[in-house]
Amino acid sequence: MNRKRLILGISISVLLILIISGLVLFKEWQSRQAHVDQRYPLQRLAYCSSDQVTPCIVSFSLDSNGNMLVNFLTTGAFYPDFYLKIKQGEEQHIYSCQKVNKFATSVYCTGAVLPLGVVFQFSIFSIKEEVLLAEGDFPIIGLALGTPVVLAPPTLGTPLTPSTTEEFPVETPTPGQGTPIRTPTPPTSYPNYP
Amino acid sequence: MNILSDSLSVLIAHWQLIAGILLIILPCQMLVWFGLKMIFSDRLTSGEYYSLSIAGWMLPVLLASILWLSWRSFQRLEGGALIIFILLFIFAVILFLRTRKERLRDSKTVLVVLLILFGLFVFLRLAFVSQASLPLYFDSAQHYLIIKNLLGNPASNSTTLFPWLTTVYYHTGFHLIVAFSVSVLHADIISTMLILGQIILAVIPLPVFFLVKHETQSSRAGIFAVLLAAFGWYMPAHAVDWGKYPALTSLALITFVLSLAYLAIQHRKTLLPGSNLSLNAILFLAFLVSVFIHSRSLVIFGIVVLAWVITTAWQRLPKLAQGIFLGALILGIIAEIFFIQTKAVLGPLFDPYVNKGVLVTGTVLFLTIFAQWAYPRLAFASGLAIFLLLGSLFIPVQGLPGYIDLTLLDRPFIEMIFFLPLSLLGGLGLAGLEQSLQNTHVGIALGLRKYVGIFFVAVILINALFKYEVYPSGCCSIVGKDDLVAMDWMDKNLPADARILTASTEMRVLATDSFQGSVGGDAGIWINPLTDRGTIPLPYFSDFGQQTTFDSLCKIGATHIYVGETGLTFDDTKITPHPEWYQILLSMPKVKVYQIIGCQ
Repeated sequence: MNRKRLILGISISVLLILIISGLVLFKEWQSRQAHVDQRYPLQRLAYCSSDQVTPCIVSFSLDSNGNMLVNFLTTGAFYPDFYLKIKQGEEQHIYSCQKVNKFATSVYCTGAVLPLGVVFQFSIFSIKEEVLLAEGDFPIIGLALGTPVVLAPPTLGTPLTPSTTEEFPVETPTPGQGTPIRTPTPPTSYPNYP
Repeated sequence: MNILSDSLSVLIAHWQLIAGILLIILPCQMLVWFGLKMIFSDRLTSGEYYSLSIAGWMLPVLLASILWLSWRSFQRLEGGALIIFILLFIFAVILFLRTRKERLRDSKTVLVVLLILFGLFVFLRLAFVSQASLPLYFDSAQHYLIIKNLLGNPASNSTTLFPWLTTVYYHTGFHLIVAFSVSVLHADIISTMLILGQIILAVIPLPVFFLVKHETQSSRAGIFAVLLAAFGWYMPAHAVDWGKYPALTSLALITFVLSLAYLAIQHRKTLLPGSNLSLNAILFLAFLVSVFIHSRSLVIFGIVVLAWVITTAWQRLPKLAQGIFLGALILGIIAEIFFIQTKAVLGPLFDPYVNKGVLVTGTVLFLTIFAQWAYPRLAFASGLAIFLLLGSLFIPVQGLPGYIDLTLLDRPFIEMIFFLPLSLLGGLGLAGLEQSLQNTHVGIALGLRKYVGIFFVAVILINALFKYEVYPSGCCSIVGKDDLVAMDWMDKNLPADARILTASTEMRVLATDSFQGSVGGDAGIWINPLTDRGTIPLPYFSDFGQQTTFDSLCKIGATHIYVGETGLTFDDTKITPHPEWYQILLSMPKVKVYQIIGCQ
């Protein structure tokens, strides 16, 4: 009985040591990946894809102040704070970046609007050590337009079709009154796996 | 391999939170374990104690959470959670010291297997968190808001002691446990919701072991039932994709209450009066807490009691009558299944068990024959419970304030809990099959009894390897990467009194197909919880191009419109042609924030 207990105790201790060592080694390896003061192959910066290599660019956007927002995906809270530099020839633009509150993997950078289709050099630098973290050359594609294209002049006061609702209730709207233009198919609440 | 690396990355990133939650579970589990050991001594095995206590940990933690909240509310003081947590530990140690002399003489192999299974379940479930920025679906936003309110500054609320009781009741137990954990660990709500949710998922299959093991005395059958409950079907895990955290929390506790009730009946004549009283007190407390965590637990308990009473009467019938009633039950279940298929709104109910789980359900149906042969009482009761569960979809409930067209249970809840009777039948069936093989010459000669369990476990695991999904489902993700940036941007740029229109849709989950209220269609549902801006839900198919629509928006004082990235979102093509009404503030590839400008 005592021998059995001894074996069990040793096995559990060895298992615990292995798990803890594994975790420590993995953490060390991961922190080396994020270190900016060592020489490692420079990470390529590109648009995010299904393989989830981070950091990567999710999208480009525009806000009402005439700024361009560059939405990044990073590895998370451990990823160093950075700024973005976009270059074309001699011309370069600096974009300040901020982590999204509560979601450390999302970072967005704000700066000047740049034209679509032109190939730029995108580089991100750590703010603390001023070290290049990732770099890539590619054009801005799919930049959401800030000024919408007016497809047809609006006809104020004379709606083309009857209204969906005469008046919107604030708390619990009741859909389905009137004739909506886009006929909705009732969606399944709590759907199963697609 | 991806699952392992994703789980490991979550483990590395959140190891403090994961360890902290497990550390909160530990004293609670110890309390239940040693509390029950004081009653049952060596009548239960260590595996059975483990199975019961891992399900029952929510009982002490919820009581501790209520105590913590009362302390905060009455004293108007921050903190206290850590002190209550330390008290839990002290009580657990006292109980341990009182019971340590009574050593259990059973083999610890089963206990080690259950411990390994729990560790494995937790580890694999963590992969989910690697791909979820936020808890999924619209329910989660509501949960977040309730937890945030519970954690709000107690001193600021001077009018009500329990503000969460005066707001819309939403099965507050899960929220209390999260709020308590957040307070003890100083963690953030979103990560705690995500990780605690996955740990609860890992806990749910383990209590199934107790009922099967205690009834059949077969640990192999008990472990098979645990594996069935864990990986047999994509339910109940898929309920996390629906943000059904309170219902999931109640599942483990429901099994705990049923196990205690089973023990109370089994041992009522052999326990000392004091022990009987203690057991019934724990049972009563667990029953109350279970109903508090999710009120529909009450219906489940009602169904089980009814099934048990009918089964007891059934057992007293002559064999022929028993057979007739059994046949009628099978026909009744088949009729219910066919009838449910005719109701479009209930159609998805059988998807996890028939369309995607046909192999496992087929295996369980095969094993049910042996379950009925060897353990007729529990098998018949399980079958009857299935019949009553399906029937409860059509039994109307009236007179509840604030609810109309309610039925005893709804489709999602039955879909979630269906795994429980099926897992029990599977476990009982395997034990029955083992018994039947033991009674045959071929079975004895070939030693089939040992291998039949391995065979069925292999079937479940191989099926899971190819079919089981641990990642968030695309069906229910309503928040994209751009949504997160947009909400952060809105938090920093929109005025505090902004009233933002968000897309909503209808909820329909009852047999009556009646409208049960508006629910969030896209990430807009998270705007209020995350940014504290006021939101106004509007049907996602609203036509913003109409003058009357625009007039209505002005009338209700809406200031902004949010068009989300994914889910059921507003139709942006109806908004962009009207720059004189709607000025774009933030334009992302799929997310748009507009300001309503043309109101007089």
